[in-house]
Amino acid sequence: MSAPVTGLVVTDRDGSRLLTLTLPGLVTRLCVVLPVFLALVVVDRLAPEAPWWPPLVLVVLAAAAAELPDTSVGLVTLGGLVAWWLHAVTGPSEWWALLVAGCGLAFHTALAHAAAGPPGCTPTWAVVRRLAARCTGVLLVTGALALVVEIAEEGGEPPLLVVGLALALVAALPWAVRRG
Amino acid sequence: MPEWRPTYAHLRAVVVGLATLVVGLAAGRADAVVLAAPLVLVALASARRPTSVPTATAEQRSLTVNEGEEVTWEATVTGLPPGGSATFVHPGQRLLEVEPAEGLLCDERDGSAVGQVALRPLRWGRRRLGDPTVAAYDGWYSWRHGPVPLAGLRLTVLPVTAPYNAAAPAPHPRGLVGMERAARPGEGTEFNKVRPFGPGDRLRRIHWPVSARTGRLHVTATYSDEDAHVAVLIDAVNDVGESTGIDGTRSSMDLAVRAAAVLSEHFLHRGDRVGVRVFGAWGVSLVPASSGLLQLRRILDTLCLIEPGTARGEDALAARQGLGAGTLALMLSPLIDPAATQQVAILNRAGIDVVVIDTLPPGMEDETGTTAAALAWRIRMLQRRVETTRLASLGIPVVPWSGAHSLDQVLRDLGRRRATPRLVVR
Repeated sequence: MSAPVTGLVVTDRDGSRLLTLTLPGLVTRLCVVLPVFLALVVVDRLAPEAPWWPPLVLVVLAAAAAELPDTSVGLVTLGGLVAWWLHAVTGPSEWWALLVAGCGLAFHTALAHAAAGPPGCTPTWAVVRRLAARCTGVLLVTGALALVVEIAEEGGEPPLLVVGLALALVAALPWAVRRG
Repeated sequence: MPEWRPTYAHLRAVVVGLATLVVGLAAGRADAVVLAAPLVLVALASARRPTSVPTATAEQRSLTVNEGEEVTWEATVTGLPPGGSATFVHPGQRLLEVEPAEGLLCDERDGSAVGQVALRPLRWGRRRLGDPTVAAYDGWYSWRHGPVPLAGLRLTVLPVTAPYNAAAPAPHPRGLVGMERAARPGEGTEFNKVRPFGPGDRLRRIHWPVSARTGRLHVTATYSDEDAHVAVLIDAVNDVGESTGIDGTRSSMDLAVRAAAVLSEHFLHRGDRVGVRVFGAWGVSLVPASSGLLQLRRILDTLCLIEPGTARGEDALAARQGLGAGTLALMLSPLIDPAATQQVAILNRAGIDVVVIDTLPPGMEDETGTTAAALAWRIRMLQRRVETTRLASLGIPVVPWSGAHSLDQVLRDLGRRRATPRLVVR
């Protein structure tokens, strides 16, 4: 065939497909599990005395989310990761938080991409490039926010304006969704 | 009518992002605000439900291809939101290769996305493929439209006509035009003899060296060129063996259909009249003999409709209908059903030159199991061996099909045999 072979197909004697291992499918699964693993390594580095089993549970949840991308397992995993960070890391660590936020975004985007079609769905390079560009933009904004937070923390309490704007944002979001 | 629906990704971004943000603000945790920021930004970017209405269309409804040939199925989704994408999934099925098998994700350009999926049918036949599905997404996969099923493709897969390079002529040419050398002299190209000039002879036929030597005008006589009537008979009562497509193992029907296609193309290219008769398949019985490339297409279209074993118990005498003495009958059969042997005998008694092309796949005769079915098969194979020996004793050649040149020697032998007088039942 002229199109490149993108996967290894395992069939039974009747020719029915049992399993298809595709390169895009493997890469997507790795992009789901690895960011969680990296984030847990960061947490372990910042809080070495923390118990060992929550990271294990989160890795298992990440692997389950990679297999079931269009379910709420991803929500549980991401929520668990954030909760574990908030519980385990107590000291000031905005720049490490930026790294973990990047991992969270990578996990979220990879999982959303995996849910767009059957497991192993082949994206065009344009799709991948566009997604990477969007994630880069979001991370740049997040980096700028981390910088603002760092500067604000040096000044003591966070400014009331920032708190007010954030709460307004939270209030406005459901309204915006309902309008849509 | 599908509409845009939020996905789990949207739920995840909204719930985790906002909850983390609220907790961070409430607890005075700046790191939580940083953690929440990307998810909140994603939730904000895709907060509004897309307003466009995607429409999916596929131009192709039916296609005719040769087996093993690759075709492209194409669908277009219009009305995508800016930065959106569309997923195209074509279901696979047995003896059909789909690439990419798990679907294709394409990005939006000017509000539309075009997906192309390669299909490669591995076996002849006519089939309706499964319904492909298309789904549309916004830029962050937060909203999904569909999936929407599209009409499946009707695929007519013609058997391959591999080059068949037999040099031997058909034994009994009888028509008016063609490439076969007839038995009688006439206008043609094949040299017959040099004879004295007679009334009506063309001047360009004069053989000047002989005329000068003898003192009388002599001309070069030729055999006339004529066509032959070739009847391809296909035994579709049984399909023996496993078929895994054009690149894999072949069943008896695979061998028969592909051999019929190759033989029909060969004799039609020589200018002969070729007809096809199928036994044992419902709805497909006869393609009247004719010549030309259109006849080849007619035959291929008929061959791909064969469904073996759907019409049993046909009259053995039906094989003789429309076939006169002098016809070359090529019977393609695995010789499992005794009716096939009867038909061959009937045709032979009618003075029709019959060549039996054995389409039993190689290795099928070697059954070593001890089950009742294995023993029954071995007994049938022994009977089959006896029947083929009887056919050979009647002067009916039984040739295993092995591609090009399978019939070369047999057709030459039949051509030589026509000079021999023989008894024919009228």
